[in-house]
Amino acid sequence: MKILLVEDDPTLGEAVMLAVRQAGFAVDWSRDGVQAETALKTYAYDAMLLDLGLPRREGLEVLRNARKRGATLPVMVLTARDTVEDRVRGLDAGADDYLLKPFALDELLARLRALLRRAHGVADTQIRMGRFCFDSVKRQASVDETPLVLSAREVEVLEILLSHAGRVTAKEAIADRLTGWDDGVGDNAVEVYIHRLRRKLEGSGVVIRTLRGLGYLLEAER
Amino acid sequence: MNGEGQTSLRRQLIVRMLSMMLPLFILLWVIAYFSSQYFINAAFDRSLIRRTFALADRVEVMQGQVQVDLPVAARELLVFDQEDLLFHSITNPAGRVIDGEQDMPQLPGHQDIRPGQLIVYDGIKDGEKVRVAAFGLSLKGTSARGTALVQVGETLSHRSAMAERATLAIVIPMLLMTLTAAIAIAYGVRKGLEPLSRLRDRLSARQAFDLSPVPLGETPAELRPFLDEINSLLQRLSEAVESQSRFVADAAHQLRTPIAGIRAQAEAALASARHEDAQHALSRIAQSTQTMGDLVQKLLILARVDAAENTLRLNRLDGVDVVREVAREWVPQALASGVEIGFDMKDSEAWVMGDAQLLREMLANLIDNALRYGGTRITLTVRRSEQGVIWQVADNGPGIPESQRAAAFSPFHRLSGSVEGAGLGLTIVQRIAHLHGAQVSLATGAEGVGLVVNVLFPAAPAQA
Repeated sequence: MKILLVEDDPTLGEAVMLAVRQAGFAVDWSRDGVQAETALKTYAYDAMLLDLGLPRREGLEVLRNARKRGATLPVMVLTARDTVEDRVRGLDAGADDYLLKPFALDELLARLRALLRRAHGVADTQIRMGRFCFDSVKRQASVDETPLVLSAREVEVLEILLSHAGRVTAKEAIADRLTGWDDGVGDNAVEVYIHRLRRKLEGSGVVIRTLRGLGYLLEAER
Repeated sequence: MNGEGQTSLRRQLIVRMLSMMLPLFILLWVIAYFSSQYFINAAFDRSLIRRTFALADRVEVMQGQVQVDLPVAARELLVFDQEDLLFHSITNPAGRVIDGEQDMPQLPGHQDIRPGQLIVYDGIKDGEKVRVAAFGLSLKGTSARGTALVQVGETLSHRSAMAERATLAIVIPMLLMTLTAAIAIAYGVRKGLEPLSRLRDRLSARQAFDLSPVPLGETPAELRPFLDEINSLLQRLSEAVESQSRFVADAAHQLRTPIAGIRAQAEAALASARHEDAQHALSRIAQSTQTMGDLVQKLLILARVDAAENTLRLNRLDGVDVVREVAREWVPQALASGVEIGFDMKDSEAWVMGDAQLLREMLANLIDNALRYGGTRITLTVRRSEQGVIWQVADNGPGIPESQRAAAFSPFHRLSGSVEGAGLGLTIVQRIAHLHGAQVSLATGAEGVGLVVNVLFPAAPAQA
C-alpha cells in the first residue's frame, strides 16, 4: 500500500516518512500543495497524510480539489490548528480524520491503519480483542474460537458495547436501544444484562468496566 | 469617589459660587447699614434743628440782658423724648451759659459760631455719644449786640435703634435670599453634575475585561470629548490586547510543527536506537517534547480565553450534561494510566450560564491536573446549592498543602516535588471560571486525603 505524505516541515516529514515506511507502507513525500496535487493526479494512493499550512497551495484546497475530482482515498489531516471551527472546516473539505500536532508516531500509525481498514471495507465483520472475537455478521461471540452461549439480549448489549469500544457507553443509551425488545427496559434490567454478560466473558480477555455515574466500557483485560 | 487628594468638581463649584456670594453679601450689609444710618440721621437731625430754632425763638434781649422765655410746659416739651435724653444750652455773646447745660461738647474745630449759622455735629457728653445742633442767634438789641449760641443735643440710642432696625429690615430678607440661593446652587450643581455620576456608574458597572466602547447615550456635550478619549483609549487597548493574544496564538501554532518534528524524530530514532544511553536520551527528548506540546496547547487556550473575553456569549447549559460528557471522554485516557473516573449525580439537572467550549476546556484542565498529580480515583460531582451550582473535581492524590493553595493559581507555578506539566492548568481554570462569574476554591478531600477543586457558578436564571 502506498501513502502520500504532504508536509513542508523537513524534520517532521522525514520522521513521519521513516515511521510509516517502517510500518510497512510505501511512502511518497510532497513538500508543498502544488506538488501534492500533481502526485494525487498521477497515482492512486491508498491514503494521504495532509498538513494544512502548506506553501504554494493550502492543504484544505488540495483536499477539496481532490474530492472534486472524485478521489475517495482516506485522508488524515495533520495540523497545528485545533479549534472546533478548524476541525469542522477540515471535515467539510473531506478529511476522514484529524490529528493535532505534536502527535505520537504510534497514534499516527494506529489511526492510519484504522483509516485503511475502514476504507478497504474489510470493515470488520470480525472484531478481535486478544482471545476474544465477535463476528458481526453471524452475531456470534467466541473465545479462542469456542463460541460463547449468549441470549439475544446479551448479544444486543455486547454489540452496543463493541460499537463504542474504547469509549464509555451510557446506561441510558443501552436502555434506549433495548426498548424495542421489552416493554420499557429500565436501568435495572440493563444492570442485569451487564451482570450476566460480564460473568460469561470471564477469562475471555475482555472485561466490562462499570464507571460510576457514567456508564460501561468494554476493553481488553490488562 | 472624593478620596483625599482628589478634587471634587461639585465641591469646587459650590465653594466658588458661595465664596463669591459671601463678600457680595457683606458689601450689601455695609451699604444697607450706612445708607439707612444716613437717612435716619437726616430725619433725626431735622427734628433736632426744629427744636433748636424753636428754642432760639424764645431767646430775647431784655434790659440789655439776654434772656430765655421758656415756660415749664414748653421746657418739658422741648426736652421730652421717649428714648433719648435731650438737653440744651444757651450761651450769651459774652460766652456765659445763661440757660441749660454748662458742659456742652465743643463745636467742631473750636470755631466760633457766626450769626445765622447752623452746625449739626457729633460730640461726647457725660461719656456718651451725642448729636448736637448749634445755631448762631444774631441779637439786635442795643445793649446786647452779638451772637448768642443756641444748642440742642440728644443722645443717640433712638437713632441707632432705628438704624439697626432699618438695616435688619434689609439684611434679613437678603440673608434668606442668600441661603435660598446657596441651596439652589448646591442643588443645581448636583443636578447639573448628575450625568457625571451616571457616567461613573456606567463605567464602574463594566466587567473587568470589558474593552468595548462606552455608549455615548445622553452624555452632555461637555463630557463628550472625555468619553471620546476614553473610547479611543479602550479601542487602542483592546486592539493591543487582541494583537497580543493573536500573537501568542500564532506563536503557539508555529511552535507546534517543530515540536512535532522533534518528537517524531525522537520516537523514530528510539525505535531503531541500539545503545542504551541513546535510548534513554531519546526517550527523555520525546518526553520533553510532550511537555512542550502541552505547554503550547495551554498557552493557546489562554490566548483563546483572552480573545473570548470580549466576545463571550453565555448560554443556558445543564452542568450535569456537560460534566458527565467530558468525564466520559476522559475515561479511556484515565484508565490507560490506571485512574478510574466516576461521576456523582446529586441533582438531575443544574443549569448555569456558560460557553460550552470554554467550560469543557476548564473541566479538561481539572481532570488533566488530577490525572497528573492525583491518585487513582477521580470523582466529578455536580450539585445545586444555595449559592449556585457547584462543579467539583476530587481526587485521592497527595493534595495541595494549604500554604501553597493561593499560589497554585498563578501561571507557571509548580508545586514542590512535581516536575511534569506546564503549570498553567489552574490558571486556565480560574480564568475561565472568572469569565463565567464563578469562584474556584481548593480544599482537602474527605478523610484528609486528596484535593478537591470546587467551581461555584451563579445559578442560571429560570428559563423565560
